[in-house]
Amino acid sequence: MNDTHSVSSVTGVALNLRVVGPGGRSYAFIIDLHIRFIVALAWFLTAHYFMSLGQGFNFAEFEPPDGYYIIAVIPATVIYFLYHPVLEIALKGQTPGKRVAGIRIVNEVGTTPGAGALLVRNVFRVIDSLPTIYLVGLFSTMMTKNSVRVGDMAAGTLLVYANSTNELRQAFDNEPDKVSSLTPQQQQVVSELLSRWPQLDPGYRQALAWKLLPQLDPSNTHSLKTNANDDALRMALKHLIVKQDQT
Amino acid sequence: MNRSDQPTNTLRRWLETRRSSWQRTAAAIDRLRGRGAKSTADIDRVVTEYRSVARDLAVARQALPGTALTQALEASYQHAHDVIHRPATRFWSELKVLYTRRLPEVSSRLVPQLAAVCMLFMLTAVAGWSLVSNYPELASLFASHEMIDGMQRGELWTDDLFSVTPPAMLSAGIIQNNVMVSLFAFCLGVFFGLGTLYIIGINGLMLGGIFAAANDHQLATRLFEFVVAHGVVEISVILIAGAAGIWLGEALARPGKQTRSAALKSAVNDAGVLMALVVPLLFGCGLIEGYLSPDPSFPMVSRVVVGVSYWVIMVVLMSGRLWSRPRAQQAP
Repeated sequence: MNDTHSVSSVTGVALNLRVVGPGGRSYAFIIDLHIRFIVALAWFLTAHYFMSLGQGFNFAEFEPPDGYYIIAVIPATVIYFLYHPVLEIALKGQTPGKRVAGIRIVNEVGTTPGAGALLVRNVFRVIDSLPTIYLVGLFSTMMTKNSVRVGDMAAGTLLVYANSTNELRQAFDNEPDKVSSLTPQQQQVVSELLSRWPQLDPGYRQALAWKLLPQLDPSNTHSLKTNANDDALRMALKHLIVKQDQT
Repeated sequence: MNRSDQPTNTLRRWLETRRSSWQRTAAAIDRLRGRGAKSTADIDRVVTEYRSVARDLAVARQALPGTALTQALEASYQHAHDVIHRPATRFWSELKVLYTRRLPEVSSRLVPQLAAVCMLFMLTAVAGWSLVSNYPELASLFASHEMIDGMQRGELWTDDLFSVTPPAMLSAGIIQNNVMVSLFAFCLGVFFGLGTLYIIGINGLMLGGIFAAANDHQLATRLFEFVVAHGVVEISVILIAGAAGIWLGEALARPGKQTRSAALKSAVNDAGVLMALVVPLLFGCGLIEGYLSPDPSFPMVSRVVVGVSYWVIMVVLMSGRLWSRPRAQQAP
C-alpha cells in the first residue's frame, strides 16, 4: 500500500497526492450511509404522512391511495440508490461524507474525474458490496497499491486527501514567522539523519546528533544536558526543521 | 548580522516576495473551481502562475519540509493542476457522441462476445427445457411451490398480477431487478468472465425450465403471450450486458502488453458504453411489463408488434442509424 500517489507534470515537479486508506474511506462511507438513509426515510415518512391523513402510521391496515408509490416509495428508493453517483458528479468528486472526511475522488492524473468514470465506479459497487457489508471492496483497499476498490480500478480513480482553502490561506499568511534557520542543504542533512534514525545504532546516531546540534543551533544546544536521551536528541533535531513544533 | 542569519533572511525575503502572489493565485483558483462565472484574468493568472507555484513548491519541499506552508503550496499546486488539466464538460455534445458514434462502434466490436453469450444462453435454455420435460419433478429448481401449484390448477402466477399489484410499483420493482441483473452480468466479468457466464447460464436454464414446466400444463402459449411484449428486448439487453462482461473477462485473462489493471480500465471504458443502451431500454421493458404485459385486454398480435418493434428500435440504436443523417448526394 502507498501513502502517496505521484503524478508527473509538465513543470517537472511531481504532484504528490496523499492516498486515503481503508479507514478514511470507511469513515466517509458511514457518514454518507447515514445521510442517505435518513433523507430517504424522511421523504418516505413525510409523503406517507400526507398521503395517509386519518390513517396514521399503521402500515398493517394501510390502503395505499392512487400515486402513493410514485410519490412516496419510488423517490425514497431513488434517493437511497442514486445518492453517490448524483452527488459525486454534482460536487466534482465529493459527497457530504467525503467533505467531512476531507477527501475527494481524483483520476490517475490527479484531476477531477468525468461523469463517465464516476458512474463506472458506482456501478461496480455491486461487486465491491459482495458478499455483504462491502467485504470485497474493503479487502481490495487493504491489498492494492493505492488502496482502491474494484470500482476505482475499473474507473481509473482513487481517493486522496483534500486540503481546505481556509487552511491554505492561513498558511500563506502565517508562515514567515516560523521559518527554519537552516539552509536547504543543512535541512537535507538533518532530514536524512531523522529518516534513518530508527535504523541506526543508538550510540552512533547520538554521536551524529551531538556533532550536528552545536554547529546548527549553538544557542539552544547548551541547554541540552550532556546525558540527554535518544528521544530528546531526536526532538532537538526535529525542532531545527519544523519550528512550529516548538510553539 | 552574523553569517547564520543570512540564509534565514534570504528565505524570509523569498517568502515575503512570493506570499502575495500565492494568495492571489489561490483566490483565482477558488473562483475557477467555484460555480460562478469564470474570468479570463483568473484563467490567465492560474495558467501563468502554475509553473511558478511548482518552482516554489520544489524550493519549499527542500527548505521547509513538513511545514503548513509546504502543505498549502502542495494543495495550491494540486488545485491549479486540476483546473488546468481537467477536460471541459460538454454534457450534451458528449451524450450525442456517445449515442451516435461510440455506441455503434462498440456494438460492432461486440459481435464475437455477443454470439458466444447467445450460444451459451440458448444451450442452457435447451438444457433447462430438456431437464424439466424429462424429469418434471425438477421444475421445483426453477419455480416456487406456489407457482407449480398454480400451474397444476391451470393458472399462471402472472394472471392476477394486474389486479393485485399497482402497475407503478410493479414497473419499479421490475426495472430495479432487471437493472441489477444486467449490472451483475456486466460487473461479474471482472472474475475473468466466469461470473458473467454463471449469470447467463442460470438465466438460460431458468427460462428453459419455466417454459417446460408451463408446457407440461399446456400453459406455454399463455406464458409466451405474457413475456413477448417486454421479454424480447429484456433478454437481448441482458445478453448484451453479458457480452460486455465477457469483454471485461477477456481483457483480464489476455491483457496483451498492458497490465491487467490498465486492460480492465480500457475494457470498462469501451464496454461500459453499452450500459448507456442497456439501462434506458430496461426502463422501457419495466414499463411494458408493469402496464401492458399483465393486462388481459391486449391481444397477442399487439403484444408481438410491441415486442418486435421495441427490439427493432434497440437494433437501430445499436447501429447508430437512428441518429445518422442521410448522406448528401455527391455532385457529378
